[in-house]
Amino acid sequence: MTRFQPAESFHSADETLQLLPLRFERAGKHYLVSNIVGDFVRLSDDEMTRLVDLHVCPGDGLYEKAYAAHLITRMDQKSQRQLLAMRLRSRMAYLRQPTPLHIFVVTLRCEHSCPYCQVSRQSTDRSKFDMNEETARRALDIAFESPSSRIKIEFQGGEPLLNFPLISSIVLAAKTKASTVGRKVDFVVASNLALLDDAVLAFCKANDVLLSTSLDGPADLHNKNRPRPGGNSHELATRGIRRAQKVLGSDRVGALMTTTEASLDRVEEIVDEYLRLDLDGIFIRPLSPYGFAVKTKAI
Amino acid sequence: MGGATDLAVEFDAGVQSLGALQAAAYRLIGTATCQIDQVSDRFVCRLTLVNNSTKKMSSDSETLRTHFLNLVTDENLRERIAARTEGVRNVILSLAFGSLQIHRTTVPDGQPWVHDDSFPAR
Repeated sequence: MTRFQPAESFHSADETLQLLPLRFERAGKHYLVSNIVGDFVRLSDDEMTRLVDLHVCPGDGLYEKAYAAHLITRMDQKSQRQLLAMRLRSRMAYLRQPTPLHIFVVTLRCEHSCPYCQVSRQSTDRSKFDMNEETARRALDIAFESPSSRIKIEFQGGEPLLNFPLISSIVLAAKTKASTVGRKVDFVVASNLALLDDAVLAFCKANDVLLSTSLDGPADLHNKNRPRPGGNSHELATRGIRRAQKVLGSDRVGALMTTTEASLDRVEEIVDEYLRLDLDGIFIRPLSPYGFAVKTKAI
Repeated sequence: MGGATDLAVEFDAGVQSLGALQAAAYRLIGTATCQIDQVSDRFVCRLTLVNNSTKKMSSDSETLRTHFLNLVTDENLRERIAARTEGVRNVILSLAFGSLQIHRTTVPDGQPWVHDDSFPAR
């Protein structure tokens, strides 16, 4: 039978201890100490002093805590440095590939009055808050400067369907450009679906445009979060989801919920609402601390 | 701008780094302004509470002084730690992104290594 080796075989306890890169902040009477990849521990004053002075030894508790948090190493511990390098590289991997996602805010107008709106929407009669064709063309040029072989263009607002003519213009121009330069481009419209009609659906189907909408939960919760004239945001959103599923396919429509204080006690009802509408996924987003969300103190 | 308390805290320029003082002054933003001058072999930090400082700070210049000294102490410690870990930090960064980036399948001590292409981008 193979036996475990004694503990001394597994670390060179005689090798010199070394501090690894770390950051710290005071948190009351403790220190919050993090390593180069963001793992953190809480240390007392005394522990912090002992750590920095390397007055630690195997078995004292702090040694094990600091080692596990990659705050200390031994001079011959190459694998620990390599592990940190690997994790750092993985953590920063997004820097190697410029973002493929390009968001086009085609209008700031919206017919909803959501108190948590991060956009600071404008009322629907102000056409000067729409993106114009020239800006759209220049934005498209910028999007295609991305070296990514596949980019995604997401239309947001306000309510982007209030400027649907520009959306269709951008989609067609992007498809032409993509085929010319040998790229692939995906499209998403993030809409409350209140203005969804047959023409929009037909265009989305013909051009493979995905729809993403907000569904905060059952009707009373959704309508409380997302008021609009008539108070029927939930009815319009769910009707739009059903129509889009029928025309585009159930995998071409997605929904997300914005978490507010009113959501916290209604988790199961929210999930049930998504299941009722045959949505096979839910994206739970926190309330963004921007725009009207701050001004209305919705957060 | 300007509050009730003007306070001068002095440091020996021979042992106290200017960088740490500047970093501490930056952390004081919102509580007090800090003007740093060098007078002969001393750094003189003139602290002035801003109008919306906490009541505790505004009523007690000793509290502000203590707070600032704590900030300077922390910045000195950060400099000390950075100096001691600069070498190993550069090694880790080189292993992660630079000239020591791992491409081979084993490391010098013979342990197997996972090729970095196996880690998916976020």
